[in-house]
Amino acid sequence: MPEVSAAVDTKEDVDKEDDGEKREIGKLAVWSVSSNKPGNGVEMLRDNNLGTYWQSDGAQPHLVNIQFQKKVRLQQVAIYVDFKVDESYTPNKISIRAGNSFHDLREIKVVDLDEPAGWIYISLFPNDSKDFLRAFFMQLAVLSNHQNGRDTHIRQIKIYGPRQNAVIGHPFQFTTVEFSMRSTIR
Amino acid sequence: MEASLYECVCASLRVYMYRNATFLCERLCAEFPSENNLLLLATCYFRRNQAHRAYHVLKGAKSTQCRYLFALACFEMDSMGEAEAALLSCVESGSEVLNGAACQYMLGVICRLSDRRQAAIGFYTQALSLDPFFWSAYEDLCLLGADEDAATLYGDMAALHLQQQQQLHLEGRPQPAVAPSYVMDEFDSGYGLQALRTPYSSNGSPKHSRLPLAISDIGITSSGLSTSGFPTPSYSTPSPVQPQMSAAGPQAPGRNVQGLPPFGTGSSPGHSSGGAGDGMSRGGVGASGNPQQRRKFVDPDGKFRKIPGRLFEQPRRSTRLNTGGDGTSQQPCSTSGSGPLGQTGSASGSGVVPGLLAGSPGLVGRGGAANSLRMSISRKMTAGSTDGSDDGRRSVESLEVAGGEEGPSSSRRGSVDDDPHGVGMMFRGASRGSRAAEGAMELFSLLRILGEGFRHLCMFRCQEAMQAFSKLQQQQYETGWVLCQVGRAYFEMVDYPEAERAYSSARRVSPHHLEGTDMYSTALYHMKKDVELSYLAQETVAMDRLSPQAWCVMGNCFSLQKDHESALKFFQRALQLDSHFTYAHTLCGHEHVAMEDFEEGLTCYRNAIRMDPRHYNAWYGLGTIYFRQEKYKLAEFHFRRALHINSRSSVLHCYLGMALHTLKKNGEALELLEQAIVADPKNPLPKYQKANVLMSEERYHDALAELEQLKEVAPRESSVYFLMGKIYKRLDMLERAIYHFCIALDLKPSASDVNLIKTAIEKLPVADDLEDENL
Repeated sequence: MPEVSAAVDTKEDVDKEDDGEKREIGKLAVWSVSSNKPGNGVEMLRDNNLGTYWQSDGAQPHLVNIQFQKKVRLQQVAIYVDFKVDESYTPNKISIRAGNSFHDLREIKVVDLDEPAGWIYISLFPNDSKDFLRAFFMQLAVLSNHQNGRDTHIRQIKIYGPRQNAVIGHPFQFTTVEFSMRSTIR
Repeated sequence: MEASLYECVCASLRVYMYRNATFLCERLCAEFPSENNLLLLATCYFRRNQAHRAYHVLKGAKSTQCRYLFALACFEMDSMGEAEAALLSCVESGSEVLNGAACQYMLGVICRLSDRRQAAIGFYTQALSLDPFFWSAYEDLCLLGADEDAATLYGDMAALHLQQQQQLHLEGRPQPAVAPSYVMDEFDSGYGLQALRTPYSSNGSPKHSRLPLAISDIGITSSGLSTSGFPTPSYSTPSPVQPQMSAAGPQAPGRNVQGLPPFGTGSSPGHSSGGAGDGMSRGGVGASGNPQQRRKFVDPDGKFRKIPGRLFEQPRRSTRLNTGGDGTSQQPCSTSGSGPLGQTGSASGSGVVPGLLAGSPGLVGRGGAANSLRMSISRKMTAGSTDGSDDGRRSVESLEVAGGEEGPSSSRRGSVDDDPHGVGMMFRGASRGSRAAEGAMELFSLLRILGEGFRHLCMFRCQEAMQAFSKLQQQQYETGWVLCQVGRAYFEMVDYPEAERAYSSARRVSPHHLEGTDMYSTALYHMKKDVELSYLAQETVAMDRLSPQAWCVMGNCFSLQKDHESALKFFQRALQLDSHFTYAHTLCGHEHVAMEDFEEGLTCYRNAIRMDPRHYNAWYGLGTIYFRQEKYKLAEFHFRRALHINSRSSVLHCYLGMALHTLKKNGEALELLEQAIVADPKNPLPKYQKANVLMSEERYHDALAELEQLKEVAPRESSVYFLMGKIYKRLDMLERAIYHFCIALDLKPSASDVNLIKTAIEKLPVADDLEDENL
């Protein structure tokens, strides 16, 4: 039974934040990795194919860098890893850092994984705060792997931000249909 | 062989066997390549939706009919320049323009698509002058926003005018203007409506003053008559000519072709026996016109001056003459087959096509018309004599003859006097004539009501539109089109439940009418009725996969499920099917905005505006993008434009107010919000925004008052409580603030909003200024 550390959202949290609440913003960013084995490059992280994976090829920590053109609000990161298939390549400890550039990063969260299998959702709210994290640059660092493996496999990474409000100039989404019906023109 | 092949082709066309017709026609053209036959071949292709083949066949053809069909083919192939050139040459060649109204209409469409609004309005107006029953022209006028022009064209003056013309026609007095009669197409059998259509002069412009054509009345279609289509009319011919005709513009005066050009061309193929010769078959233009009436034209020979007098002295004789004349000016309508042909035998080799004459009102004075007139005149003068036939033949040469008619004319000529049948027909014709006049008036009044409703709707005066539509009778009201318009009226008034009702009854009445389903789906989207929306999507796509509206519905369905990428795909599919479908462009824009692709969104909205500058949704969309990008001046500009188009929309007023608020023009903002509230008292957004503005002006108690009112209207709206909480915090009434924040939380807003509220609660003890610093 895979255990995840408390830093990771529980299933209920994930469900609450359904697709209506968040959207994938990975396409707004430039993705790079610290090292990779030829044929298992950074594209495998974003190809929506769980069969392909990125394999690192260097010293730890292995880094995935996500750089945005403008400051975005970040809500959640999702990683797909599978211990049963990747064994010693499966990450064990992941650190998430954010900031303005490569040299200006601050650690936001550290996540411990124990034999994970499937999607792992990591919420990006700074501890106990309810504001969204706003950053130009995000870095996902694999600090160690299971069974002390050197290199790591990650099959897919998705990064989520909050949805824009449908009604401009209004911080809220309307809860009642009467309001929302009359709030926009389509 | 040519004649029989021709007849075979026509027969095939009549029963919609297009492949057969095409094959036979190709053989015909191989043997006897004449423009007439080429026209027929092009018609076959056009009917089979192979416009490009028609284009190639007709390239270089000279006759007006050919050029008209060529223009249509160019239009289908999106080659607007060529189409326009061809149409203009059609229009200029005046004398043979039978499809006058249709030509004008097509020119109008081309101008509209190439963004020449004034020119388009001009053309549409002319089209309607030529043919007041040309609904498409009227519709386009309304869509262009030419409110006044449309109003006059279908206004009281027009009705009176039409009525007068009918009266005059009935009384056989000279009419100031004459309408072309309907074209009967060959497919019609039986009586066929030949409503008299009198073009009425639009206000004063000399260009529009119609020629004083006599109205031909009803064209009788052949089948009914053994005498192959002879026009009944017998009203006395209106006399004197009005020389204005020459003054009349290039357009053909009221051609009767009821906007069915292709068909018009096709229909008359008739048999042009042998000598049909050059020119196009006027085919189809059935106007049964009394040549006599035509007679009024200026005849270069001045021959006809005498005629009127004579004709008028002896009504009976004139009728007979009329009939005789009518015989000559036969309408091409339905070709009765061989009969006439047989009779033709004689002199007038090629059948005369009075039908063409019918069109001729326009011909005013121009070659063809004059000739035909002369012909008919001479025929009349020499009723029964064969001299006329010579004249006739001569004039005939200038006109094409539609097949069957010839027979009657010659026969008429020969036997006018002993033709009781003819006389009988004539009398029948007379009664038919008056019936036709009534019919025309009824039709016109129906079109007026529909037109009024549509016009009001296009200018977004929804209440008036609904009133207008409610004047319709039950059977007309309960039709797909009308119910969709009513639904749209409710939609524009933001009364979505009523709109849904109207649209669903439209779907019940005619489930195949997909035109309004895109708006229907938007109404369902607003009401968040996803089940009904997905059902509608399934139904429409199953009904017609190739209609852009169905894919818009599907896109809306997915958009409601927040799957914006799929929704965008579907909207783009709709655009592939019809790149001029404005609403699909706007919807694409909305999807891009939802995915935060603002640049793409801007492009899409601009495309929509390019297609239709009166599409206020697109203007609104542009405004919202600029607002999000904090370019408030631009946002204000665009909202104003949208409001200018649709000045009754409460939502638009509200948004403009919001834009002004951010530009710090609070006074104006409040005014606009007031207007928004007045425009739609059920709309909570302007009240909310008003409270916002008041709060920023520190008129906290007024703001609270507004919000209290709003609480009554929408008791479960958490944003209201949130705002109230914030106001109480400003007023330093912390307990009340907490109370309201908690209620707001209880009402289960979305997760991100929960965070907002929680933050606000946490920061309660901190003053607002400090709070702003931290952020």
